[in-house]
Amino acid sequence: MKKKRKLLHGLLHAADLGQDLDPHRFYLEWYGTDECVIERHMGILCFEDVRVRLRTEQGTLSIEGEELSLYELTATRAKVTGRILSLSVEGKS
Amino acid sequence: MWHFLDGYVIIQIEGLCAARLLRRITESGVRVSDVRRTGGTSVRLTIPARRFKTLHTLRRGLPVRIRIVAKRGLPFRLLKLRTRPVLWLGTVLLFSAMLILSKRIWVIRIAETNTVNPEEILAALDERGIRPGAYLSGPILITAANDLSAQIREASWIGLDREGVMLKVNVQEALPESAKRPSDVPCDIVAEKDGVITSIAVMRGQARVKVGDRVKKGDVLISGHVVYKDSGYDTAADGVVKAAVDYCVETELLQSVSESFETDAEETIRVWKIAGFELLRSRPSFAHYRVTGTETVFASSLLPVVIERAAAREIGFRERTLSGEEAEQYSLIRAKEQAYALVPRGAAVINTYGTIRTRKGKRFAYVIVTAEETIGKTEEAPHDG
Repeated sequence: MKKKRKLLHGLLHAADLGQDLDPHRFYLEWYGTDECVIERHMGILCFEDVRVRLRTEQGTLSIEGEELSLYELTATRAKVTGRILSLSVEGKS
Repeated sequence: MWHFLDGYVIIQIEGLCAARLLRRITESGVRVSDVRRTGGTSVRLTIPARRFKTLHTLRRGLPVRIRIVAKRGLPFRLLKLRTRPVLWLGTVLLFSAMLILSKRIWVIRIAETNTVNPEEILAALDERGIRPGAYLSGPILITAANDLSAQIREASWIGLDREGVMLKVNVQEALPESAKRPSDVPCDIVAEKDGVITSIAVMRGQARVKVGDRVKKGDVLISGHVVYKDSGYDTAADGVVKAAVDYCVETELLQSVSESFETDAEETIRVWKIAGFELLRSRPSFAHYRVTGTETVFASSLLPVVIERAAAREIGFRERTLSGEEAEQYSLIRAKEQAYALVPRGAAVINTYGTIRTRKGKRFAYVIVTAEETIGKTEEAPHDG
Protein backbone atom coordinates (compact mmCIF):
# COMPACT_ATOMS: atom_id res chain seq x y z
CA MET A 1 0.00 0.00 0.00
CA LYS A 2 2.74 2.43 0.99
CA LYS A 3 4.66 1.49 -2.13
CA LYS A 4 1.68 2.27 -4.30
CA ARG A 5 1.26 5.65 -2.68
CA LYS A 6 4.94 6.45 -3.09
CA LEU A 7 4.78 5.40 -6.73
CA LEU A 8 1.75 7.64 -7.38
CA HIS A 9 3.42 10.52 -5.58
CA GLY A 10 6.58 9.98 -7.62
CA LEU A 11 4.66 9.83 -10.89
CA LEU A 12 2.76 13.03 -10.14
CA HIS A 13 5.98 14.74 -9.18
CA ALA A 14 7.83 13.50 -12.26
CA ALA A 15 5.02 14.49 -14.62
CA ASP A 16 4.83 17.88 -12.93
CA LEU A 17 1.11 17.37 -12.32
CA GLY A 18 -0.86 18.99 -9.53
CA GLN A 19 -0.51 17.27 -6.22
CA ASP A 20 -4.26 17.76 -5.71
CA LEU A 21 -4.77 14.72 -7.94
CA ASP A 22 -3.31 12.55 -5.22
CA PRO A 23 -6.31 10.79 -3.64
CA HIS A 24 -4.47 10.21 -0.40
CA ARG A 25 -3.87 13.80 0.47
CA PHE A 26 -6.49 16.18 1.75
CA TYR A 27 -7.14 19.21 -0.42
CA LEU A 28 -7.84 22.64 1.01
CA GLU A 29 -9.19 25.79 -0.59
CA TRP A 30 -9.26 28.90 1.55
CA TYR A 31 -11.15 31.98 0.39
CA GLY A 32 -10.31 35.08 2.37
CA THR A 33 -11.17 34.71 6.02
CA ASP A 34 -14.77 33.58 5.71
CA GLU A 35 -14.78 30.31 3.83
CA CYS A 36 -12.68 27.23 3.28
CA VAL A 37 -13.36 23.95 1.56
CA ILE A 38 -11.73 20.72 2.62
CA GLU A 39 -11.87 17.70 0.36
CA ARG A 40 -10.87 14.12 1.07
CA HIS A 41 -11.25 14.42 4.83
CA MET A 42 -11.99 11.30 6.80
CA GLY A 43 -14.61 12.51 9.23
CA ILE A 44 -15.40 15.19 11.71
CA LEU A 45 -13.83 14.97 15.14
CA CYS A 46 -15.07 18.11 16.80
CA PHE A 47 -17.49 20.82 15.94
CA GLU A 48 -17.77 23.95 17.99
CA ASP A 49 -18.46 27.62 17.43
CA VAL A 50 -14.76 28.43 17.59
CA ARG A 51 -13.16 25.22 16.37
CA VAL A 52 -13.72 22.54 13.74
CA ARG A 53 -11.47 19.52 13.67
CA LEU A 54 -11.39 17.10 10.79
CA ARG A 55 -9.51 13.85 10.45
CA THR A 56 -7.31 13.51 7.38
CA GLU A 57 -4.70 10.98 6.26
CA GLN A 58 -1.98 13.45 7.08
CA GLY A 59 -3.27 14.16 10.57
CA THR A 60 -5.90 16.33 12.25
CA LEU A 61 -6.83 19.53 10.49
CA SER A 62 -7.89 22.16 12.95
CA ILE A 63 -9.76 25.29 11.88
CA GLU A 64 -10.13 27.98 14.48
CA GLY A 65 -12.20 31.12 14.32
CA GLU A 66 -15.47 32.70 15.38
CA GLU A 67 -19.08 31.73 14.64
CA LEU A 68 -17.96 28.79 12.55
CA SER A 69 -20.53 26.69 10.77
CA LEU A 70 -20.50 23.86 8.26
CA TYR A 71 -22.29 25.03 5.19
CA GLU A 72 -21.92 21.61 3.64
CA LEU A 73 -20.77 18.32 5.06
CA THR A 74 -20.41 14.99 3.31
CA ALA A 75 -18.24 11.96 3.95
CA THR A 76 -15.34 13.49 2.00
CA ARG A 77 -16.06 17.19 1.66
CA ALA A 78 -16.68 19.97 4.13
CA LYS A 79 -17.24 23.66 3.59
CA VAL A 80 -16.55 25.74 6.68
CA THR A 81 -17.90 29.28 6.87
CA GLY A 82 -17.57 31.95 9.52
CA ARG A 83 -14.64 34.08 10.61
CA ILE A 84 -11.62 31.83 10.13
CA LEU A 85 -8.59 32.92 12.11
CA SER A 86 -6.18 30.01 11.81
CA LEU A 87 -5.65 26.63 10.22
CA SER A 88 -3.28 24.04 11.55
CA VAL A 89 -2.44 20.41 10.92
CA GLU A 90 -1.31 18.15 13.68
CA GLY A 91 0.66 15.66 11.63
CA LYS A 92 1.02 11.98 12.36
CA SER A 93 4.26 11.23 14.06
CA MET B 1 -33.64 24.78 -5.69
CA TRP B 2 -32.90 21.04 -5.69
CA HIS B 3 -33.07 21.13 -1.92
CA PHE B 4 -36.51 22.70 -2.17
CA LEU B 5 -37.76 20.19 -4.75
CA ASP B 6 -36.41 17.25 -2.78
CA GLY B 7 -37.65 18.50 0.58
CA TYR B 8 -35.48 18.94 3.64
CA VAL B 9 -35.74 18.82 7.40
CA ILE B 10 -34.02 21.15 9.83
CA ILE B 11 -33.16 19.19 12.94
CA GLN B 12 -31.54 19.90 16.24
CA ILE B 13 -29.24 17.37 17.84
CA GLU B 14 -28.91 17.77 21.57
CA GLY B 15 -26.35 15.90 23.60
CA LEU B 16 -22.65 15.57 24.26
CA CYS B 17 -21.99 13.29 21.31
CA ALA B 18 -23.39 15.53 18.57
CA ALA B 19 -20.08 15.50 16.66
CA ARG B 20 -20.01 11.70 16.75
CA LEU B 21 -23.50 11.50 15.37
CA LEU B 22 -22.50 13.98 12.68
CA ARG B 23 -19.61 11.72 11.73
CA ARG B 24 -21.92 8.71 11.57
CA ILE B 25 -24.37 10.62 9.40
CA THR B 26 -21.72 11.72 6.91
CA GLU B 27 -20.11 8.29 6.85
CA SER B 28 -23.46 6.77 5.89
CA GLY B 29 -23.41 8.92 2.75
CA VAL B 30 -25.89 11.56 3.82
CA ARG B 31 -25.12 15.09 2.74
CA VAL B 32 -25.85 17.55 5.50
CA SER B 33 -25.69 21.30 5.27
CA ASP B 34 -25.91 24.46 7.30
CA VAL B 35 -24.45 22.86 10.43
CA ARG B 36 -24.17 25.34 13.27
CA ARG B 37 -23.88 25.30 17.03
CA THR B 38 -26.95 26.60 18.79
CA GLY B 39 -25.71 25.99 22.28
CA GLY B 40 -23.02 24.27 24.28
CA THR B 41 -24.34 20.79 23.52
CA SER B 42 -26.72 21.33 20.62
CA VAL B 43 -26.19 21.46 16.88
CA ARG B 44 -28.67 22.50 14.22
CA LEU B 45 -28.40 21.13 10.70
CA THR B 46 -30.31 20.50 7.51
CA ILE B 47 -30.79 17.00 6.16
CA PRO B 48 -32.64 15.68 3.08
CA ALA B 49 -36.17 14.62 4.04
CA ARG B 50 -35.91 11.14 2.51
CA ARG B 51 -32.80 10.38 4.62
CA PHE B 52 -34.34 11.49 7.87
CA LYS B 53 -35.48 8.00 8.87
CA THR B 54 -31.89 6.69 8.79
CA LEU B 55 -31.13 8.92 11.79
CA HIS B 56 -32.97 6.53 14.11
CA THR B 57 -30.57 3.72 13.35
CA LEU B 58 -27.53 5.98 13.32
CA ARG B 59 -28.19 7.43 16.76
CA ARG B 60 -28.31 4.03 18.43
CA GLY B 61 -25.99 3.89 21.42
CA LEU B 62 -25.43 7.65 21.53
CA PRO B 63 -26.93 9.76 24.30
CA VAL B 64 -28.40 12.34 21.93
CA ARG B 65 -31.87 13.68 21.30
CA ILE B 66 -33.05 14.63 17.81
CA ARG B 67 -35.74 17.23 17.44
CA ILE B 68 -37.33 18.43 14.22
CA VAL B 69 -37.22 22.22 13.99
CA ALA B 70 -38.84 22.66 10.58
CA LYS B 71 -39.91 20.76 7.49
CA ARG B 72 -39.38 22.59 4.26
CA GLY B 73 -39.64 22.01 0.52
CA LEU B 74 -42.11 21.02 -2.16
CA PRO B 75 -43.16 17.58 -0.79
CA PHE B 76 -44.24 19.16 2.52
CA ARG B 77 -46.08 21.98 0.77
CA LEU B 78 -47.95 19.48 -1.39
CA LEU B 79 -48.74 17.47 1.71
CA LYS B 80 -50.31 20.57 3.26
CA LEU B 81 -52.29 21.27 0.09
CA ARG B 82 -53.64 17.71 0.06
CA THR B 83 -55.79 18.56 3.03
CA ARG B 84 -57.32 21.59 1.28
CA PRO B 85 -59.77 20.24 -1.31
CA VAL B 86 -61.45 23.61 -1.81
CA LEU B 87 -58.17 25.10 -2.99
CA TRP B 88 -57.71 22.27 -5.49
CA LEU B 89 -61.31 22.66 -6.61
CA GLY B 90 -60.78 26.40 -7.03
CA THR B 91 -57.63 25.85 -9.07
CA VAL B 92 -59.36 23.31 -11.30
CA LEU B 93 -62.34 25.65 -11.73
CA LEU B 94 -60.05 28.58 -12.52
CA PHE B 95 -58.13 26.67 -15.16
CA SER B 96 -61.37 25.32 -16.62
CA ALA B 97 -62.78 28.86 -16.74
CA MET B 98 -59.63 30.11 -18.42
CA LEU B 99 -59.81 27.26 -20.92
CA ILE B 100 -63.45 27.98 -21.72
CA LEU B 101 -63.07 31.77 -21.79
CA SER B 102 -59.97 31.63 -23.95
CA LYS B 103 -62.05 30.08 -26.72
CA ARG B 104 -64.18 33.22 -26.91
CA ILE B 105 -63.64 36.69 -28.28
CA TRP B 106 -63.26 39.39 -25.63
CA VAL B 107 -61.64 42.26 -27.49
CA ILE B 108 -62.40 43.59 -30.98
CA ARG B 109 -59.68 45.82 -32.41
CA ILE B 110 -60.42 47.67 -35.63
CA ALA B 111 -57.59 49.01 -37.80
CA GLU B 112 -57.58 52.79 -38.10
CA THR B 113 -59.03 54.09 -41.37
CA ASN B 114 -59.99 57.48 -42.75
CA THR B 115 -63.25 56.66 -44.45
CA VAL B 116 -64.74 53.64 -42.68
CA ASN B 117 -66.58 54.30 -39.45
CA PRO B 118 -65.56 51.76 -36.76
CA GLU B 119 -69.06 51.95 -35.24
CA GLU B 120 -70.49 50.75 -38.54
CA ILE B 121 -68.14 47.76 -38.53
CA LEU B 122 -68.99 46.94 -34.92
CA ALA B 123 -72.71 47.14 -35.68
CA ALA B 124 -72.31 44.88 -38.72
CA LEU B 125 -70.31 42.39 -36.65
CA ASP B 126 -72.94 42.48 -33.93
CA GLU B 127 -75.67 41.65 -36.47
CA ARG B 128 -73.74 38.46 -37.25
CA GLY B 129 -73.35 37.54 -33.59
CA ILE B 130 -69.71 38.60 -33.39
CA ARG B 131 -69.42 40.56 -30.17
CA PRO B 132 -67.28 40.34 -27.00
CA GLY B 133 -68.04 37.02 -25.32
CA ALA B 134 -69.10 35.23 -28.51
CA TYR B 135 -67.78 31.79 -29.39
CA LEU B 136 -66.38 31.82 -32.92
CA SER B 137 -64.90 29.33 -35.29
CA GLY B 138 -62.94 29.74 -38.53
CA PRO B 139 -65.80 29.34 -41.10
CA ILE B 140 -67.97 31.96 -39.30
CA LEU B 141 -65.16 34.49 -39.51
CA ILE B 142 -64.55 33.86 -43.21
CA THR B 143 -68.27 34.21 -44.04
CA ALA B 144 -68.59 37.33 -41.87
CA ALA B 145 -65.52 38.92 -43.47
CA ASN B 146 -66.97 38.35 -46.96
CA ASP B 147 -70.37 39.73 -45.92
CA LEU B 148 -68.79 42.81 -44.34
CA SER B 149 -66.68 43.50 -47.43
CA ALA B 150 -69.86 43.45 -49.51
CA GLN B 151 -71.95 45.45 -47.02
CA ILE B 152 -69.61 48.34 -46.16
CA ARG B 153 -69.17 50.40 -49.30
CA GLU B 154 -66.23 52.45 -47.99
CA ALA B 155 -64.17 49.29 -47.61
CA SER B 156 -62.93 47.26 -50.55
CA TRP B 157 -61.85 44.36 -48.33
CA ILE B 158 -62.31 43.44 -44.71
CA GLY B 159 -60.34 40.70 -43.01
CA LEU B 160 -61.12 39.15 -39.63
CA ASP B 161 -58.08 37.77 -37.89
CA ARG B 162 -58.30 36.06 -34.54
CA GLU B 163 -55.40 36.27 -32.11
CA GLY B 164 -56.24 34.49 -28.88
CA VAL B 165 -59.14 36.34 -27.29
CA MET B 166 -58.71 39.31 -29.63
CA LEU B 167 -60.40 39.78 -32.99
CA LYS B 168 -58.46 42.03 -35.33
CA VAL B 169 -60.46 43.71 -38.07
CA ASN B 170 -58.24 44.72 -40.96
CA VAL B 171 -59.78 47.17 -43.39
CA GLN B 172 -58.67 48.04 -46.89
CA GLU B 173 -60.28 51.33 -47.84
CA ALA B 174 -62.10 51.52 -51.15
CA LEU B 175 -61.02 53.93 -53.86
CA PRO B 176 -63.13 57.07 -54.28
CA GLU B 177 -66.16 56.82 -56.54
CA SER B 178 -64.44 58.85 -59.22
CA ALA B 179 -61.61 56.36 -59.37
CA LYS B 180 -64.04 53.50 -59.78
CA ARG B 181 -66.03 55.11 -62.57
CA PRO B 182 -65.36 53.64 -66.02
CA SER B 183 -63.50 56.00 -68.30
CA ASP B 184 -65.92 55.63 -71.21
CA VAL B 185 -68.81 57.48 -69.46
CA PRO B 186 -68.35 61.26 -69.91
CA CYS B 187 -68.49 63.17 -66.65
CA ASP B 188 -67.18 66.26 -64.84
CA ILE B 189 -65.61 66.77 -61.44
CA VAL B 190 -67.61 69.42 -59.63
CA ALA B 191 -67.15 71.18 -56.29
CA GLU B 192 -68.93 69.54 -53.40
CA LYS B 193 -68.43 72.56 -51.14
CA ASP B 194 -67.48 76.23 -51.29
CA GLY B 195 -63.77 76.89 -50.86
CA VAL B 196 -60.48 78.21 -52.19
CA ILE B 197 -58.52 75.83 -54.40
CA THR B 198 -55.20 74.81 -52.84
CA SER B 199 -54.12 72.08 -55.27
CA ILE B 200 -55.37 70.43 -58.43
CA ALA B 201 -54.10 67.29 -60.13
CA VAL B 202 -55.79 66.40 -63.43
CA MET B 203 -55.53 62.83 -64.58
CA ARG B 204 -58.18 63.00 -67.29
CA GLY B 205 -60.17 65.95 -68.65
CA GLN B 206 -59.44 69.67 -68.60
CA ALA B 207 -59.00 71.88 -65.51
CA ARG B 208 -61.49 74.72 -65.27
CA VAL B 209 -60.00 76.28 -62.12
CA LYS B 210 -56.52 77.05 -60.83
CA VAL B 211 -54.91 77.27 -57.41
CA GLY B 212 -56.21 80.30 -55.50
CA ASP B 213 -59.61 80.40 -57.25
CA ARG B 214 -62.66 80.71 -55.02
CA VAL B 215 -65.25 78.13 -56.04
CA LYS B 216 -68.85 77.55 -55.07
CA LYS B 217 -70.70 74.30 -54.60
CA GLY B 218 -71.56 72.85 -58.02
CA ASP B 219 -68.83 74.68 -59.97
CA VAL B 220 -67.05 72.50 -62.53
CA LEU B 221 -63.50 71.90 -61.41
CA ILE B 222 -62.32 69.44 -64.04
CA SER B 223 -64.39 69.23 -67.18
CA GLY B 224 -64.94 66.02 -69.09
CA HIS B 225 -65.23 68.00 -72.30
CA VAL B 226 -61.70 68.51 -73.58
CA VAL B 227 -61.23 71.28 -76.13
CA TYR B 228 -58.11 71.24 -78.22
CA LYS B 229 -57.67 73.95 -80.88
CA ASP B 230 -60.96 73.91 -82.81
CA SER B 231 -62.14 70.39 -81.90
CA GLY B 232 -63.16 68.69 -78.69
CA TYR B 233 -64.09 65.34 -77.24
CA ASP B 234 -65.85 64.01 -74.16
CA THR B 235 -64.19 61.87 -71.51
CA ALA B 236 -64.63 60.85 -67.88
CA ALA B 237 -62.92 63.60 -65.93
CA ASP B 238 -60.58 62.32 -63.26
CA GLY B 239 -58.31 64.00 -60.76
CA VAL B 240 -57.87 65.25 -57.24
CA VAL B 241 -58.89 68.78 -56.32
CA LYS B 242 -58.19 70.09 -52.84
CA ALA B 243 -59.53 73.29 -51.41
CA ALA B 244 -59.47 75.28 -48.20
CA VAL B 245 -62.99 75.05 -46.80
CA ASP B 246 -64.24 77.29 -43.99
CA TYR B 247 -66.37 75.88 -41.18
CA CYS B 248 -68.04 78.72 -39.26
CA VAL B 249 -69.75 78.46 -35.90
CA GLU B 250 -71.44 81.29 -33.99
CA THR B 251 -72.69 80.77 -30.46
CA GLU B 252 -74.18 83.13 -27.95
CA LEU B 253 -71.88 84.00 -25.04
CA LEU B 254 -72.20 81.66 -22.08
CA GLN B 255 -73.36 83.17 -18.81
CA SER B 256 -72.40 80.26 -16.57
CA VAL B 257 -70.59 76.91 -16.75
CA SER B 258 -71.04 73.62 -15.00
CA GLU B 259 -67.92 72.87 -12.96
CA SER B 260 -66.91 69.53 -11.51
CA PHE B 261 -65.67 69.08 -7.96
CA GLU B 262 -64.80 66.15 -5.70
CA THR B 263 -67.27 65.48 -2.91
CA ASP B 264 -66.23 63.75 0.32
CA ALA B 265 -67.98 60.51 -0.65
CA GLU B 266 -65.60 57.64 -1.41
CA GLU B 267 -66.11 53.96 -2.19
CA THR B 268 -63.75 51.10 -2.85
CA ILE B 269 -63.90 49.40 -6.23
CA ARG B 270 -62.20 46.25 -7.45
CA VAL B 271 -60.83 45.46 -10.88
CA TRP B 272 -60.20 41.90 -12.11
CA LYS B 273 -57.68 41.56 -14.91
CA ILE B 274 -56.61 38.54 -16.91
CA ALA B 275 -53.42 38.76 -18.94
CA GLY B 276 -53.52 42.55 -18.72
CA PHE B 277 -57.09 42.83 -20.01
CA GLU B 278 -59.76 44.19 -17.74
CA LEU B 279 -62.38 41.50 -17.23
CA LEU B 280 -64.58 42.93 -14.52
CA ARG B 281 -64.85 46.20 -12.64
CA SER B 282 -67.13 46.79 -9.69
CA ARG B 283 -69.13 50.01 -10.01
CA PRO B 284 -69.60 52.54 -7.22
CA SER B 285 -73.04 53.92 -6.50
CA PHE B 286 -72.07 57.36 -7.91
CA ALA B 287 -72.96 58.39 -11.43
CA HIS B 288 -69.70 60.31 -11.87
CA TYR B 289 -66.47 59.45 -10.11
CA ARG B 290 -62.70 59.60 -10.30
CA VAL B 291 -60.51 56.59 -9.60
CA THR B 292 -57.46 57.16 -7.39
CA GLY B 293 -54.95 55.16 -5.39
CA THR B 294 -54.93 51.91 -7.34
CA GLU B 295 -53.15 49.10 -5.52
CA THR B 296 -52.71 45.42 -6.32
CA VAL B 297 -54.55 43.11 -3.94
CA PHE B 298 -53.70 39.83 -5.62
CA ALA B 299 -51.08 38.93 -8.21
CA SER B 300 -49.67 35.52 -8.93
CA SER B 301 -46.55 34.52 -10.79
CA LEU B 302 -48.25 31.26 -11.83
CA LEU B 303 -51.56 32.67 -13.08
CA PRO B 304 -52.05 35.76 -15.24
CA VAL B 305 -54.72 37.03 -12.84
CA VAL B 306 -54.47 40.38 -11.10
CA ILE B 307 -56.99 41.90 -8.69
CA GLU B 308 -56.67 45.60 -8.01
CA ARG B 309 -58.36 47.80 -5.45
CA ALA B 310 -58.93 51.51 -5.97
CA ALA B 311 -60.77 54.37 -4.35
CA ALA B 312 -63.63 55.93 -6.36
CA ARG B 313 -64.28 59.53 -5.39
CA GLU B 314 -67.62 61.05 -6.29
CA ILE B 315 -67.59 63.94 -8.73
CA GLY B 316 -70.30 66.55 -8.30
CA PHE B 317 -71.26 69.40 -10.61
CA ARG B 318 -72.21 72.98 -9.80
CA GLU B 319 -73.09 76.01 -11.88
CA ARG B 320 -70.71 78.96 -11.77
CA THR B 321 -71.50 82.43 -13.13
CA LEU B 322 -68.77 83.64 -15.45
CA SER B 323 -67.13 87.03 -15.48
CA GLY B 324 -66.98 88.95 -18.76
CA GLU B 325 -63.51 87.77 -19.78
CA GLU B 326 -64.13 84.20 -18.68
CA ALA B 327 -67.40 84.10 -20.63
CA GLU B 328 -65.56 85.14 -23.80
CA GLN B 329 -62.85 82.51 -23.34
CA TYR B 330 -65.26 79.69 -22.50
CA SER B 331 -67.55 80.62 -25.42
CA LEU B 332 -64.67 80.74 -27.90
CA ILE B 333 -63.46 77.33 -26.73
CA ARG B 334 -66.94 75.84 -27.07
CA ALA B 335 -67.45 77.39 -30.51
CA LYS B 336 -64.06 76.06 -31.62
CA GLU B 337 -64.98 72.56 -30.43
CA GLN B 338 -68.22 72.72 -32.38
CA ALA B 339 -66.40 73.93 -35.50
CA TYR B 340 -63.83 71.14 -35.22
CA ALA B 341 -66.66 68.63 -35.02
CA LEU B 342 -67.83 69.81 -38.45
CA VAL B 343 -64.45 69.09 -40.09
CA PRO B 344 -64.68 65.73 -41.91
CA ARG B 345 -62.31 62.84 -41.20
CA GLY B 346 -59.20 62.99 -43.33
CA ALA B 347 -59.24 66.79 -43.65
CA ALA B 348 -56.27 68.80 -42.36
CA VAL B 349 -56.97 71.89 -40.28
CA ILE B 350 -54.80 74.73 -41.65
CA ASN B 351 -56.15 77.77 -39.81
CA THR B 352 -58.38 78.72 -36.89
CA TYR B 353 -59.81 82.17 -36.26
CA GLY B 354 -62.02 83.29 -33.39
CA THR B 355 -63.56 86.58 -32.33
CA ILE B 356 -66.39 88.09 -30.28
CA ARG B 357 -69.07 89.86 -32.30
CA THR B 358 -71.99 92.00 -31.16
CA ARG B 359 -75.25 91.89 -33.06
CA LYS B 360 -78.58 93.38 -32.05
CA GLY B 361 -77.30 94.04 -28.55
CA LYS B 362 -76.21 90.41 -28.06
CA ARG B 363 -72.66 89.12 -27.97
CA PHE B 364 -71.57 86.04 -29.90
CA ALA B 365 -68.44 83.91 -30.12
CA TYR B 366 -67.57 83.49 -33.79
CA VAL B 367 -65.05 80.86 -34.93
CA ILE B 368 -63.84 79.92 -38.40
CA VAL B 369 -61.87 76.69 -38.81
CA THR B 370 -60.26 76.34 -42.22
CA ALA B 371 -59.52 72.80 -43.36
CA GLU B 372 -57.91 71.50 -46.50
CA GLU B 373 -59.86 68.66 -48.05
CA THR B 374 -60.78 67.02 -51.32
CA ILE B 375 -63.89 68.72 -52.69
CA GLY B 376 -64.12 67.10 -56.13
CA LYS B 377 -67.22 65.03 -56.84
CA THR B 378 -67.94 63.17 -60.04
CA GLU B 379 -71.10 64.21 -61.77
CA GLU B 380 -72.35 62.93 -65.07
CA ALA B 381 -72.79 65.82 -67.44
CA PRO B 382 -73.53 65.25 -71.10
CA HIS B 383 -71.65 67.69 -73.26
CA ASP B 384 -72.96 69.08 -76.49
CA GLY B 385 -69.62 68.76 -78.15
